[in-house]
Amino acid sequence: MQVKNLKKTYKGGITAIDDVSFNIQKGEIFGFLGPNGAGKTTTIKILTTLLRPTSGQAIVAGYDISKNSNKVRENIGIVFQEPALDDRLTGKENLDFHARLYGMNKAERKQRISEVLELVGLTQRADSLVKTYSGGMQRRLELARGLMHKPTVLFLDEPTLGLDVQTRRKIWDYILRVKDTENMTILLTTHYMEEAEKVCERIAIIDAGKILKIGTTAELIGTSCGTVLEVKTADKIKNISGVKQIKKNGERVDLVVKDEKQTTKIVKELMNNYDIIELNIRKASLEDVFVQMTGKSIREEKPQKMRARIPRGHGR
Amino acid sequence: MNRNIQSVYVMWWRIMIRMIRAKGRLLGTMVQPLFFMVAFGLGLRGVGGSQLNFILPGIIAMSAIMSSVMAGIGVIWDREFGFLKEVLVAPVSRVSVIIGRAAGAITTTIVQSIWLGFIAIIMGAEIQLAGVIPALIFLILTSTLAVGIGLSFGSIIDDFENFQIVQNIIIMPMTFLSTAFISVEFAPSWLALIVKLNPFSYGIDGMRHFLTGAGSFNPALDLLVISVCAALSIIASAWFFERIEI
Repeated sequence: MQVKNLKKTYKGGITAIDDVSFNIQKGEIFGFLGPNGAGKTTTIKILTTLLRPTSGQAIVAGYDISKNSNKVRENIGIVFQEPALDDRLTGKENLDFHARLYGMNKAERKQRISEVLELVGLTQRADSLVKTYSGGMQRRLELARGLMHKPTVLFLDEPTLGLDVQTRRKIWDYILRVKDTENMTILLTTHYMEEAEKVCERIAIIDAGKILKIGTTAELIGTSCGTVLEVKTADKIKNISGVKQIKKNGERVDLVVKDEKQTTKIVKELMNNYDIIELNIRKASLEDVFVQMTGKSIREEKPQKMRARIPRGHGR
Repeated sequence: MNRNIQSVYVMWWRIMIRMIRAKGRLLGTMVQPLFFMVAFGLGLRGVGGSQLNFILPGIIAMSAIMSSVMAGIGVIWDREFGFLKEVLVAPVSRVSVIIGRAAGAITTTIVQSIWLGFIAIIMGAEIQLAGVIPALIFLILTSTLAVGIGLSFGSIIDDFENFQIVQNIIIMPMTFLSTAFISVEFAPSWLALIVKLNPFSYGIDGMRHFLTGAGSFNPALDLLVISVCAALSIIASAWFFERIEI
């Protein structure tokens, strides 16, 4: 996948993404990390042909998104951020609907539907209406659907948003298993840091419509921060040489140390000059990198509430 | 190509399944028009002689137009609940999606109309059995025009309230200011002119012509006008649907 200078300006002049460029290798898991409103979903919508870019080019699965959108559509699978299932159909019917749109014949449909249902563990509930599914089950069904037609590129827009830890882990197990067996390229967005760290081979940090940095987790952490000292003290900590950033973190104060080798020196200095109640030394995480780069925290936001259901009887 | 045919079929199939499962709504579409039939058809019986023969095709047509326009709600509904995205990213032509949707809405309308036709006969309307097939063709064309209008607005508008406004300020007048309830022979000339400018008038007149023999226009003109307008409305809806961005 090659993306070059992608830009999207909505009517009214709001620029959602600006000059976004990146490449993804075949078989790679690439993550988009950024807060809500950073432009992750807009980028995915453009790459999946749901939105036309204002300017810029992108090649997805070997085809140009503007000139050859139907070919792109054939070769990609998507799990959307918000549910996109028909909840008045059963799980199996949703999959069958999808399979027909992707031109699968009867034998293929039958085989593939049972395969993907098995994969996400929904075989038992295949014939229940989707509206009786839990949030986690719906997510798994959407994942199954995204995989139905064996896409070469899979887009996952916050695939685990709002799910409990257990379900999140399960979903990632499925995704990784499938990725290995079918050799897919995956582009995912998330704002769960641990997920991004664990799963992605490379990560792009995106904020306010721009990509700030691209690299492996180790690269991203290595280049901007090394160690973090979490200190609890009644004193006000003044600048210490070697400390890149001091930020309040609840009751504690986080000192970001750029060069790990200086950790001991800084700890000693802390011990000598301040009254320390607690001291915790840890390796910097993506979260720290993110704060470094954007100046804001990417808190684990609560899942947005689904829009209120419209009363039935309004239409089909 | 095969995929696009599948797409038409599967869109249609989905609407059928949903209609059958939504028992309450199904009952509503079947029962609600009966009240109109009783009120207009029987309640006003003494007013004019062949009242029933005139009014019953009108009520069937009105119900058909109302239920066909609801196809537009389907698009808004899918947009609201995200399912539209699933359809829009599929590698099928959007025209096939529109045709499938239209086919679903038209099928629903035909089922409803046949049911109302039976009731009309029971209530004493004198329907020419030989005219049923040509009348059905006019019904389908009338329904297609309404479906096209509904789908066009459904593709442009993204919330239910605004669609209701469309129903109230465009569809309602088009339904009532047509040959469904107004006879061009007896109406004041300004009203007759409005009726004649309304494409629905021709579809309804064609239906009435074949069902009861009481049409006002030449059936060939009826066929021409309603066919052209139905085709244009479907083309318009495909055009608007093609341009949906989410």
